[in-house]
Amino acid sequence: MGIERYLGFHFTETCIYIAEAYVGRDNHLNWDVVEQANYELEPEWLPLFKDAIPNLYDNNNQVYGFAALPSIWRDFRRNRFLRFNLRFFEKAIKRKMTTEDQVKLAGLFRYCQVFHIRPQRDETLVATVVTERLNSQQRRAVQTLFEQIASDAKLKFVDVIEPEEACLRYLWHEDVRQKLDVENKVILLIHLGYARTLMIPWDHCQSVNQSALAPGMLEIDRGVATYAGRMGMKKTIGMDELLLYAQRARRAFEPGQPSVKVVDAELETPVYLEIIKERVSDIANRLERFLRDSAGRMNPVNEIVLVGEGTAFQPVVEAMQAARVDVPMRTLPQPTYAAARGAASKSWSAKNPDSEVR
Amino acid sequence: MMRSVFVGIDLGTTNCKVAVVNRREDPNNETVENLNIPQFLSGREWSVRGVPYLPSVVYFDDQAETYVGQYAKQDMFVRRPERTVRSIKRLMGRTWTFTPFEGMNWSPQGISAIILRKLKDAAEKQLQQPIEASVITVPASFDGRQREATLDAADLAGFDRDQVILIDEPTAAILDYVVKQIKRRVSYISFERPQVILVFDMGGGTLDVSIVQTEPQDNELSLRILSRSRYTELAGNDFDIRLAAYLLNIFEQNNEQQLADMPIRRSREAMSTLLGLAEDLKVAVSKRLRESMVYWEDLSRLEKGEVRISQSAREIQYGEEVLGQVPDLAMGYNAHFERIWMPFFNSDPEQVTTIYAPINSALSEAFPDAPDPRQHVDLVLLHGGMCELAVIGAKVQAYFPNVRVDETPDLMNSVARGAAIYDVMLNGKHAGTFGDIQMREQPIFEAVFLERYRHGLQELVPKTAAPGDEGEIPLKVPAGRPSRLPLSLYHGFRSDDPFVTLDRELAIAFDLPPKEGESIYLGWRVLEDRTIEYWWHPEDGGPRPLRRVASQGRDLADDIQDLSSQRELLGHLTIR
Repeated sequence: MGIERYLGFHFTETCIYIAEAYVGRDNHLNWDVVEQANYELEPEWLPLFKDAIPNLYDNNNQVYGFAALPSIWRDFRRNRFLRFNLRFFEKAIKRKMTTEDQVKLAGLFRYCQVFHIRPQRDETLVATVVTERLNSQQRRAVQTLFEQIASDAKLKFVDVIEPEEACLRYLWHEDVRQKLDVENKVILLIHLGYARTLMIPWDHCQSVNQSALAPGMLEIDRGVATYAGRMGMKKTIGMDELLLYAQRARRAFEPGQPSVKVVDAELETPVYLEIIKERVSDIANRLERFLRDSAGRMNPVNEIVLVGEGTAFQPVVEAMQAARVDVPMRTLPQPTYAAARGAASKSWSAKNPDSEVR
Repeated sequence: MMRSVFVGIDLGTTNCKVAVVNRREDPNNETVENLNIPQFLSGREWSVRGVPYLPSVVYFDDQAETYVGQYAKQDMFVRRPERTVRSIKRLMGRTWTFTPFEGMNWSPQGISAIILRKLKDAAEKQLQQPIEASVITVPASFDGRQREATLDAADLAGFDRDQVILIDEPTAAILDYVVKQIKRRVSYISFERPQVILVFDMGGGTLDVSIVQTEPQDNELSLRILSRSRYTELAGNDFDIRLAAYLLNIFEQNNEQQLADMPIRRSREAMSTLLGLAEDLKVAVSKRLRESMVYWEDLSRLEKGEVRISQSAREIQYGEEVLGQVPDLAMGYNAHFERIWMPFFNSDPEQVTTIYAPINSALSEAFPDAPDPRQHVDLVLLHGGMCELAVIGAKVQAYFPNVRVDETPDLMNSVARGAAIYDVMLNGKHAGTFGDIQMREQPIFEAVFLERYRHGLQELVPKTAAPGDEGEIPLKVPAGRPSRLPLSLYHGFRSDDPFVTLDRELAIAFDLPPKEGESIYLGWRVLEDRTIEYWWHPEDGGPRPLRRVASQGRDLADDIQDLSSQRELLGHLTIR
C-alpha cells in the first residue's frame, strides 16, 4: 500500500508553487519542494521559474506550464493563453464554469502530477490549495470545484485556504527549527506576496485583529511594465505578458547590475529604482503605520518575520529594514514557499488530526 | 584539502548527465543538483543554458573540430552518419577503431574521452572551478577490461585517474532513492528489518539488474550489494530497432517502395530517420500514457477500450508526413507495440534477450539455493528512461506479483545524482556517509580464474574480494625453460559457468629462464575502483610487473601507444 502524501499548492497570478509535508525521522514536520523539470527554459527565465511552475495553459497546443511557456513570447494573440487565477476561479464562484474549463483545470493537476510530483502508482495525494483575494464563501465554491474535478483521481483536496492561514501554519512548524519562541511572543508575520502584502499579527499563537494590507509585488511590476511600455518597445505585447517580463526582471535583480531589461526596453538601474521607489516605500510606510496604529490596541510586537516572494527583492527588504520600527526582523528559510508549505501542513493535519507532531 | 564540490557523471550509452553537490557555501549541504549542459541543438542553434542531458553522440566536422550532443544526434547522424558515432559505451574495452578521416583513428576510450571532456568543461564553467575528481557510473555488468577502459577515457579527458571512482549504475540509482526515502518517518525503506531490493535499470544501451540488501543498525542504514546481472545485449535501442522495422514496414506498404531499392545514401538516411522516429514515438507514447495517468493497473482498462488516448499533434504529423498512416495509438499501444516487442517479454528461462534474463541471473546468484528466489525480494526499483514506458513496469510487476514495484525519484537523472551522493560519501566531511546512509565495501562479484593447462580453470580472485583484498597462488614453471609464460585470465560467477569469458591475457617475461618445476607466484590486489592489479614474483624475490597481452596478440606497450596517440589527437581537437 502506498504512502499518503501531503501537498500544498499555492496559486499566484503567474506561478504555481508546490510543496510536500512529511514527518521526518526527527519527528517533526519537514518539507520537500517539488522539483521542477524546466528543461526547455531559456536562461533568463530561470530566476522566475527555477522553483515554480508557470501558471499557464496554451489553448492552441493544449499544453501546460513549462510546455506552454516558450509560446508566450512568440504569440501574443488574445485568448491563446489561460491562467488559473482569480478571474478563472471567479467563474466557479459565479457558477459560470464550463465543462471545458473544468477539463483544463483537471489537466493542470494531472500535468503537475505527471511531470513534477511523480507519485508512485499506488500513492494517494492529499492536497490543500492556497488562493489569494478570495473570501471564505468564495473559497468554498472553489473547493467544490476542486472536489468535482478530482472525483476519480488519486488527488484528494481537503481544503482551500487563504495565505494568512498557510503562512501562520508554516511559522508554527518552522519555529521548531528557527527557535522563534512564537508561543511566548507577539509576532508580526509579513507575507510579501505577489498580489498583495499581508501584515498578520500573531499574539502568543492567537490571531488578533484583521491582517493589514499593503501593495504586493504586482504593483511594483505594474509600475515598471507601464514605464517600459511607454518607452516605445519594438514588440507589441499585452499587459499580462509585459507584467511577466517585469516580474522576471524583479526576480533576477541584483543591486550591482547596471541595467534592467524588460522585453527589449533597457532601463538603467537608477531609473528602475526610481520607478519602484514610491511603491517600495509605500509598503514600508504601511508597516510603520500599522505598528503606530496598533499601539495600545494590541500587545507590542516583539519580532517581525518576513516571508513571500518579495523577500528575494533586495530594495523591498532594505526598505522594510530601514523603516522606523524598533523591532527585530528576520526572514524564514525558502520564504517563497511559505504559503505552499503551510498548505501542505494543512493537508497533513487534516489526515492526522490527533497527532502531536509539530 | 577537503573538497567542496562533488560531481557524479552518468556516462550513458544514449545520454549523459551530470549532478553535483555543492558545499562551497554550506558544508552540510545535501542538495543534489542536475547540471545543464550547453550544447548545439538541432539546426546548429547554440543553447547557452543547455539541456540537462548530453546525447552520447559525437560528430567529427573536420580534423580539428567535433560536436557532441543534440546537433550530432539529430542532424549529423542523419546527414553524415559516416562521421558520427553513437552508443560507444557498448564497445568499451573492445579493440575497435573509428576513422572519420584518413589517418585519424579513434578508439572507444578516445571517443568516450571527448564526451567526458565536454561534460567536464560544462561542469567547470558552471561551478567556476577546475574539476579533476568525479564518480563515473558504469553498467553493473561491465567487466574489468571495460572498467579500465572507462578509467582510461576519464584520464584522457583530463580527470586525475587516481581521483576517479567508478560506481555501478543500479547502485547509484538506489542511493538516490534511499536518500530521499529515509528522511521520512514513514517510508518504503525499513529501519526495523533488512530488506532486499532488486534494481531494474533499463536505459538506452544497457539493461542491468542489481540486488541490494539494506542493513539497518543504530538508526543508520548500510547498503550491501548481493549480486548483479550478467552482461546483456538487450536495451532500449533494441526496442527502437524493432519499432523502426515496424514503421519501415508501414512506410514501404504506403509508399510502394522498398528500402532496398533506394540509393544507399537515401536508404541510410531513411533508416536513420526511422530510428529517430521510433525513439520519438516511444517517448511520445509513454508521455501520452503518463499524461493520461494510465498507470500499470490501468492497462487492462485500456485493453478493454475503457480508456482511450488521443493522438497528439506530433504523432499525427508523423502519420501524415512521414508514414502515411499510423494506427490509432490507443489501440496501437497493445495491439502493436506489445506485439512488436513480444520477444523481449518472453518468460521462457532459456531465452537470453528478454527483460527477465538479467533478473533471473541476478536472483539465482544472490539466492542460489532458493526454489523461487523472487520470494526473497521486498522491493523492486525501476530506473532508466525505458521505464517511462508503462509496459515495462507492468511486465516487471507481473513477474513480481506480490512485491512493491517503485520508481527512482528521477528515472532519467537518479544515476548521476546517486554518483554525486557517492562522491560525498567517499570524499565528504563525514567519510562513508551521506545523511544516515553508509555504503559497505562492495565485492567484485565475479571471480577471476586462471586457465591451467590440462587442469581447466583455477580460481585466482574470489568473487567476494573487496577493495584492499589481495592474495597469490603458486605456479610451477613448465618444461623447456621458457623465456615467457603466457597466462589467460577469465571472469565469471563459477568455474563451471558456461558464460565465463576471457578477461585478459598476461605474460610473465623472465630475465633469466627458471628451471623446470621451480615455483613462482602470481599475485593480485583489488584496488579502490574495484579493478584488479596483478604481479608475479619468484620464490625468493620481490614483486615484478606482468606484461599485458591483448587478445590480438598485442601487448601493453601497444595499449600505452594507443592511449598516447588518443591523447595527442584530443590535444588538437576543439570540442563543441
